[in-house]
Parts: sequence; C-alpha cells; structure tokens
Amino acid sequence: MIRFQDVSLSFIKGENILTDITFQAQRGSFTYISGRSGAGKTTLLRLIYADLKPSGGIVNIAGNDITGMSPRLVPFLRRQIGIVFQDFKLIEDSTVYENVKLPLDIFRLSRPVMDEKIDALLHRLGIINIKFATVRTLSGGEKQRVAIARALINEPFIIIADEPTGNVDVENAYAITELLHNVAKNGTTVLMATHDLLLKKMFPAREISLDRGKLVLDTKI
Amino acid sequence: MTKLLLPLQKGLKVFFGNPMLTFFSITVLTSVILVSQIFLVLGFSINNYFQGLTLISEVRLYLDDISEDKAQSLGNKILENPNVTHVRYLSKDQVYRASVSLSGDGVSDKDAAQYFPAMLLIGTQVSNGDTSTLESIMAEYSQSNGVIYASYGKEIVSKLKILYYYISAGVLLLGALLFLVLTFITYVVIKLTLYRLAKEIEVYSIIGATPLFISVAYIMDVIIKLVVSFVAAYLILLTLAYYTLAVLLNVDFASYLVYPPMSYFLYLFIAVLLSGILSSYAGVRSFIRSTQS
Ligand SMILES: Nc1ncnc2c1ncn2[C@@H]1O[C@H](COP(=O)(O)OP(=O)(O)OP(=O)(O)O)[C@@H](O)[C@H]1O
Ligand SMILES: [Mg+2]
Repeated sequence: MIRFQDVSLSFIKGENILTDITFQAQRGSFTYISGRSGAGKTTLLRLIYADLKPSGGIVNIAGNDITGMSPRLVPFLRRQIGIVFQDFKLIEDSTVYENVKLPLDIFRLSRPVMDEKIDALLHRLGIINIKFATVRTLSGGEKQRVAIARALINEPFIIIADEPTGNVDVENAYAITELLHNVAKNGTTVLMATHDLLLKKMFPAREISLDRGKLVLDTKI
Repeated sequence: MTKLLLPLQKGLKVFFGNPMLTFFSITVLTSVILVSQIFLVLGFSINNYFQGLTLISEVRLYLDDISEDKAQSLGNKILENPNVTHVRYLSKDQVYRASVSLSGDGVSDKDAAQYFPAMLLIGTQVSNGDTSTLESIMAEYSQSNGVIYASYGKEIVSKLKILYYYISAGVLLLGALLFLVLTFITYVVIKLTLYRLAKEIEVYSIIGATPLFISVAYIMDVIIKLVVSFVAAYLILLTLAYYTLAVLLNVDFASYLVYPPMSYFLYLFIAVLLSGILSSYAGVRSFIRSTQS
C-alpha cells in the first residue's frame, strides 16, 4: 500500500533531512513512526500526501509512483488519504457536520446520501450528540474525533496521523489511538507519528524509528 | 440549479464573513472603478467634441478694390458649388472692426479701415479636419477676378488634428494603465481576503480540493464585491456630475453633460469583471502554491 525505496529529502543541498528510507506498509497495517523532535517524522508523512517531493528514491502509494506526480493530480491522490494533525486543522467557525461534510462536497453527492454517511460515522466515533455544535466550542478530544471523522468520511485507503494525541488529555489519547487501531483492522493502512511511549505499550504495533533522518529501528511484528 | 447556488452561497459567506475587510475592499474598488468611469465619460466627451468639430471650415477670399455688387455676384457664382453651404461678404469696415475686436487694442482710427481688404467668407461642409475640400475650393477661386489672396485656417486645422491624436493616444494609454491598476488592486484585495482565510484554504487543500474548486467561493466573493462597487461608483458618478454642473457651475445638467450610452458602461463592467475573475483565480493559485512549501 505504502512503499518507500531509498527515499532521501533535503531542503538545502547536502543537508539531508531524510536519508535512504526504505520500508513498506501493507494494507490494513498499523505503524507507529517514532523518533525525537526534529528526527523527520512529519517530513516523512508529508511525502506520502505529496506535500513534499523526495530529492531521491521512490515513493509508491497504492501501486503508483508519486515521485514525479504532476501538481495537477495531487488533489486526486489526497482524496484517497485521510490526514489527522496535532492541531486538528478544522474550520473553527463551522459546525461539526459542515467540517465532516467538506470532503463530500467535492464529490457533489446527493444530500440524503451524504447525511446518512455522516450520521453513521458520527455514531461510530461517539460524537453524534455534537453534530451541530460549532467546532470552536469543543474540547481537544472532541475536535480530534471530528478531524478523524473528516479523514474517514471518504473511506480512504490510508490514514496519516501526525501526533494526533499531542493536544488531548490522557484518556482521550488512549481512546483516539484505540480508534485508529480499529480503523486499521477494518482494512485501512494507518501511519501514526508519536512520542508517547505509554501509548505504544498499551496498543502494541509495528514501530519505525527515525534518528536525524535515518531509519534506525523497524520492529516488524 | 443547486450547482449554481452553492458557489453563490459560498461567495456570500465569504462576503459577509468579515464585514471590515469587505467594507475596505469595496471602498478601494469603488474608488478605482469611479476613476475609470469618470475617465470613460471624459474620453467619450473629448472624442465627441472633436468628431463634431466643424468650426474651421471657412475659406477666406481677400478682395482687391471691387464694388460690393461685383463681390456679391462672385459670391453667388461660388454658391453654385455643391460643397459650399454659404457665402458671406465683409466690407473693409467690417473686416477692420473684426480685427480691432480680435486684437483688443481700442485704438480706433477712422481712416485705418481703408487699408484693410474686403472679404468673402466661403462656408463649407468640411468636418473632422478634412483639408482636401478646403484646398480645392481655395485653388478654384483664388484666381478669380478681384481676388488677391485666399486662405483658410490651415495651421489651426493641422494643429487641432495633432492635438486630437495626442489626446486619443493619452486616453488609450491612461485607460490601459487604469485597467492594470484595477487588476492589481483586485489581486491585492483577494490576497488580503485569502490571508485571513489561509487556514481554511489549507484545510481544503488537505482534503483534496482542486485549486478551481477552492477558488470558486473567492471568485464569487470578488464578483459580488465588484458588482456592488460598480453600482456604487455609478451612483457617485451621477451625483458628482450633477453637483459639479448643476450646483457649482450652475448650468443645465442634462444639456451640458455629453454622457456615453449605457452600452459603454456595460463594456466597462464586463472588462472590470473579467479582470476581477482572472486576478482572483491567479491570486488563489499563487496562494495555494505558497502554502505548499
Ligand atoms: N520547510 C523546511 N525547510 C527547512 N527545514 C525544514 C523544513 N521543514 C522541516 N525542516 C527540518 O527538518 C527536520 C525534521 O523536521 P520534522 O518536522 O519532520 O521533525 P519531526 O520529527 O516531525 O519533529 P517533531 O516531533 O518536533 O514534530 C527539522 O530539523 C526541521 O527543522
Ligand atoms: Mg512533527
């Protein structure tokens, strides 16, 4: 599903942020990306949704080499990838419903079909009760669930979560990590960047560790 | 129908989303559009004025000592020429008085008039500075009996022609410049709107919206702003025109204002709209590029 082959990246010539990264993540797998601050976790994830281009090597997503992808096609790649951020990246002045609906607007589905999908997902994530609340008024844990709902609404092949538990309390961090594990069990490939040792203990999974841009550990369980 | 309504709805949301910014944008856009509209009226008036110029259309024949009767019969003969509209006889005295009143020196010398020639003024249908007819009339009658010299306002005609070209070129140049300024200001205004909505655009970009899909709301917003600004500018223009002419200059508003037909304003509006759509799409595109480091 995701395949990195000798991927390098540098913003300034000679100074590699990522060096010769090679790994694969299968369909329905869950993988932690760990490493100290500045190790290159975010940079690695950005390569997957073509927010950055590698300086060397090949990034292959769902069988397609996206290394030389035309900027025109990037939006179409992103529709198959759900992305969850530490700072949520929601539209704060809109409601939960409107935020989750955004990816569907692009496809211009009919209203009843959309509403049915959204309600089912909000039920599953336990946030149907705040469907019409404005995002600004929600807690961190609730906002992150909304962000996950928005990432999942299109039934993507891949979920990328960059420190999704960074801005929520411990209980919510557990709940969100468990949720992402369940998403993987349903067949979506999940990559989650995190610092949190406890989480990794509670919900064990494969871990890829970076140190100054190099892959130093890959625990294939 | 909903396909059309959705962008409009989104545009209205952006429009009313930040009243301060919207007010600012409309003020700026209205000022620029008002200048273009004033420019349109002035340009039209100048063009109209020169197109209707028939003033310098007389050929003057300077007469030797011939009697008024003889002069009149020559005049009648000239009147048979189809290009000639009227012929007027000026006696020595009349020519003298016209010259005194022109030069403005009040010295009146009863005997001075005899040193001036009598004249025949030949009126023609010449307009727009067409000098060939004037030349041919001049050539035809300058050899007639009793005529010592013939002329027309050759220098003035050619100078007016050059002036007309200069003004036309200036109007076109300034018009083009104004259009560039308008495009640039629309571009800046949309960028201002976009910077405030940077987070929102980032969100759209993440979920895989194309630049066109993202632009639609902002283009719609700019269209609404331009329509409002154009109408506002037009109303201000009418008020200004009325105020300067009727109140300040105290002249009849309707008869003095050479007002371009509505279609001119329609063309200007279409041009403004096109520049707005293009510059806002360019603005959104470059903005999306800049957020994708
Ligand atoms: N646009 C950029 N230009 C130059 N350097 C960059 C850019 N983005 C990231 N970097 C550098 O790349 C390195 C890796 O950054 P990255 O954000 O991937 O780290 P990270 O592992 O996600 O850290 P954290 O845990 O703090 O989020 C850092 O040294 C950072 O300064
Ligand atoms: Mg990071």
